[in-house]
Amino acid sequence: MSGHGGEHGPGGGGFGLHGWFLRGLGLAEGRPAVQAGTETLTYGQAHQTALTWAGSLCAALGGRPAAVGILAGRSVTGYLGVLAGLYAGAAVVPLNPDFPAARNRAALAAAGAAALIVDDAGAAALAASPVPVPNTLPILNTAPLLETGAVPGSRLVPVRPAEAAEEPAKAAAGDDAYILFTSGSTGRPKGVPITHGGADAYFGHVAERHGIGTGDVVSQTFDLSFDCAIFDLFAAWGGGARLLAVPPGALRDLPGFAAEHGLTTWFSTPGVISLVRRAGGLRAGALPGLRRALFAGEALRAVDAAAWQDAAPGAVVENLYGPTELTITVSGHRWSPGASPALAVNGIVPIGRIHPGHDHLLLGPGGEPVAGEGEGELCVTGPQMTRGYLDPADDRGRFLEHASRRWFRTGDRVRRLPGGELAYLGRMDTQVQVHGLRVELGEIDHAARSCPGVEDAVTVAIDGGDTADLVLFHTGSPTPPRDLADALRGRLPDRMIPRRIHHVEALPANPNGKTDRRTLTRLAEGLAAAGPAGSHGGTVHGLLDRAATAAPDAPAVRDAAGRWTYAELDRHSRLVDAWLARRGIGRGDRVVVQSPGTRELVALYFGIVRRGATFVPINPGTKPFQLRQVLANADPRLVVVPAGTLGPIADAVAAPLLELGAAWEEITHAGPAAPGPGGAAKGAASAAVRPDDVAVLVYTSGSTASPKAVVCPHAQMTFATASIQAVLEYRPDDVVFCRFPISWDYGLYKVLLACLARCEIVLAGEESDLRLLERIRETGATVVPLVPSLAEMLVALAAREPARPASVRMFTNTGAALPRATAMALRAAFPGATVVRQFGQTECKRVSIVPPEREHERPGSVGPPLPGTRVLVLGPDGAPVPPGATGEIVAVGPHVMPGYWRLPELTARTFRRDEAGRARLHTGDYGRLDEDGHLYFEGRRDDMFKRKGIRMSTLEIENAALDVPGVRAAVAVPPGGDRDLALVVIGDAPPHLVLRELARRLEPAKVPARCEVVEELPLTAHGKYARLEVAAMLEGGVR
Amino acid sequence: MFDADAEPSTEPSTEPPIGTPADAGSWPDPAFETVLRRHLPFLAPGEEITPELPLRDHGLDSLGTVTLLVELEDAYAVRFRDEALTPRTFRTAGTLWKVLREIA
Repeated sequence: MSGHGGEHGPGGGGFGLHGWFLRGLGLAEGRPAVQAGTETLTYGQAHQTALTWAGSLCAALGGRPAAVGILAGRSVTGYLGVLAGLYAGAAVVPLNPDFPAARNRAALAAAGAAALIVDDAGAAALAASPVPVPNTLPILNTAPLLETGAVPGSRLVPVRPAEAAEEPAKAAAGDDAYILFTSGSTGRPKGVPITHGGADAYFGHVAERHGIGTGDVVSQTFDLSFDCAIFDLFAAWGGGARLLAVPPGALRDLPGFAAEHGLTTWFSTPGVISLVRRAGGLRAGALPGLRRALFAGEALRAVDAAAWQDAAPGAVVENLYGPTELTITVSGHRWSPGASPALAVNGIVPIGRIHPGHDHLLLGPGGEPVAGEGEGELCVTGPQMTRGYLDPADDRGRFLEHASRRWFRTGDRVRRLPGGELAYLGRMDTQVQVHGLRVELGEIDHAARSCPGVEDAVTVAIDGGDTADLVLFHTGSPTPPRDLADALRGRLPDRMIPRRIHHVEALPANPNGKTDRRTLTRLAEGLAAAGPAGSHGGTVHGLLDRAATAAPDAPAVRDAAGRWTYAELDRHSRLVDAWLARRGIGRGDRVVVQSPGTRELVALYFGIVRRGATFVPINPGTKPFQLRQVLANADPRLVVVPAGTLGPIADAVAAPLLELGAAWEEITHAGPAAPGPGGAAKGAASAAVRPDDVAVLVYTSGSTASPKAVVCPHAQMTFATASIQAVLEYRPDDVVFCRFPISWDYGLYKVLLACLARCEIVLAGEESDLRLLERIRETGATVVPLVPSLAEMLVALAAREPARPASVRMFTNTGAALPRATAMALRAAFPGATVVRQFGQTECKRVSIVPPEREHERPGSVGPPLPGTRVLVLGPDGAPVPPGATGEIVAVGPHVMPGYWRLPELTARTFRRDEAGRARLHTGDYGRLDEDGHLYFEGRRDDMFKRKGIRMSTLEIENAALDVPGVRAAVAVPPGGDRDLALVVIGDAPPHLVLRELARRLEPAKVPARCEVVEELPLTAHGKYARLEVAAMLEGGVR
Repeated sequence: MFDADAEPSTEPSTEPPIGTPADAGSWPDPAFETVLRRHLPFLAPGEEITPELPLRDHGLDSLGTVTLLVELEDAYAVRFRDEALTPRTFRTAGTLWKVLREIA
């Protein structure tokens, strides 16, 4: 039915999908077929290698495998793996090494994979996975990494040229060529089989439409697990063209890359266009050699298509559309600068006409096809349609029986344009009802993007009580929400104006690069909880108001003395508010409180911020000596401390000084009953608290002797809380066990996170450490924030009672890197619990978090940026360094605090402004970003030092030491005085062995001169290793 | 006289215990002293461990307390009762020794 070529054609040879490679082999045997980096193979070489691999696999398995998994990145090995799988007569199951191991394992099992082909990236992923690949799954020995035994328990199949297959396996039209996994709405991926017959029909159409030939160089940008990669491979190979892997770095200078390699054919997601534009690669005529530019995977904006056409005047630009279930793409629109802009709907390029040989219909709301120029859910039938999901249960609701045929329901809303082309409107779920009227979220996005200063915009809908509330997130200039709303009123009907507008630095993306609407929706919900509609930021006490209204009887906070519900906590916070009013404390006044972690402290926290005053919490362990300095610095209007502290600081402060118990007496007995939520505190003459008012001053340790406090306004605190919650997803039935003082931002924000989720927080102090595990059990704790030393305590305590499980489902770690051995011991002691890695600073609360479901990916990474924020890594000149290079970690976003309290110079040095006036936090921490924007922390400036002329960090030496079997903790001590670089460890390995193992992992200059083994390492008040004291231990002789 | 209190206090007392363990002849046990010394980084090598020696002041922090507990349990093949897992037990060498002797 489609005109694919003659006797070389696949249909004639009976080879199905890989027949298209054989076609290329016939056209271009000696010419390059694949190129990745400097590695290139000709068609002849690729063919022979694939035959060898296929033959070796079949020999080892004793026959044709039904399916072969390809766990690989975009490498020559990956491409050959696909071909070899098909040559062996198997269905190919491509898997992304960066995806969670559990997901890949499930896919392999569902597909019935009999063997695995991996490249180095795939082998590294296997090695990093905590659960080994089942011993029964043989792995073709295609990656050098496999030789090192890095993947324990694997059965390696040797590659033997002597066993090469004579010829590729034949394929019947109904045989599966590929099995791809797409995310299901339940969260469990669905397997989509693509048959040789369907693929054959597709590539016949492709050959005719695009005419790729032996002179072409075709880009390979899609991950192999993405169906568009199949196009890259077989559209290139079918024409005898060269398939060229495009490394992510190439986007930084695409014109240069394209020119260097003679790129003629570009295929990518539309999202790439803004990246290339931002890097300056989209100037008019910048891509003269391009003959075709194809885009697929998400909506293509007309402005982007036009820009690309300008950059590549010689290219045919096309927008391709199609779900995986319809085999890669099933329709296309050829961009015409003259005609296409008028056809765009909501600024999106049409998806064009469905491929020949197929039929489509638009399903209306009543379940009947819509005729003429109407709108409905696009349904398609024809040879490219999948035969059904791997699991037939997944077919439910996805297929339509109509006119005696079976149609696939795409879940996309589409409009038929005059002329017959189709236009994409959005997913079925991007249309919501607002006061009974339909609102297309994409329409709001489009209108927002046309407003001045807006770079990108995404609208989500959250539950607004009686109807959906529209929440708009935008990047670009931080236009005041009121101005943006005004601009939108000129473009949209009133009911479509978002009730809440938030400027963010970046829109969170999920692993395949699409906007992560789920996370954005949760962020929107969190921000809504903090403040009323129409505001651009919430208040800290707004979170408590919301919790007390929605869940008054839910437990809020528990200490050694008892627990309060949200209603009780709210009531006590209002008593505090009224009390402060009576004492003349108003907006902007500082209230210093030193108290152990109690319910009353939490009530004071919320009451003080509710008043509009500033809460200044002090660690219970702070001695009068330091407290005096803090008081001088904070200049409070009121000070509340324990009895024993009163005397020593009485002369240090002019403001009233109260003992905790006496203050609480006044709070609870001296005043009239406080009104409930929604009413104003009696006597409150001060105006309502604004989001940019200062809620808390958090004193942090610094390298200087004088105290330093971070100014934390309501807006930043509530944003950080909402964004963290969007990732961690605390649930109402969670119990958060908080061992950390509220004076530390870790504890301070756990209170807010629990409040946002309306779950309970248990406050535990140091005195209960011996019974930590018992306390965790008896409170039913489900979430436990940790620092590494606390983790070790837990592991030691759990080892005493291995048979008694606890209810913990999540540990979050911050402060310092958690040694891998400790993380594994935690998981062993608490089966089923995830361990979440994070990185942050009080100055912006948190910089990055590894989402719990991606726990096992990228070991060593501290995760992607907090949703809505951006992370930069800057070199000494202030310019961003390339991915993989080390530089200073800089955070940008609504979470960055305004500065330090009354320290203008330090503030100016740390919180700098960029050209657009946006605040950037220079963390003083050093690290790198990988190609996907995930952060790796390497050390603080003071962790860096020079030895033998080479710059290194204590952290990299410690990380290497922690990798040595038997080492449980390590502190590297830089050279000082006449003492050379030394290492102090806790563990079972003798010093000489540790040094020898380090020599295998580090450059010679980085191997310490000396190693001491100790039983314990001194800790700071926050549970981090006290480096100066460790150094002192070395001076004084180690015990 | 130190004995097992009905309620473990939430704040460690600032006063040292009155009196010494009843059976003075069994103090000090070399194994106990060895294990204990390892967890007191601020104790000089030649410095004597007396019953009144305050452990926290000599470098026993919270993580140290837990690892000390586990080591003593391993060394003496015993298990501290939950009620004995209090700051009081670990206040001085003497209080710790007393509790340990009751179960060893």
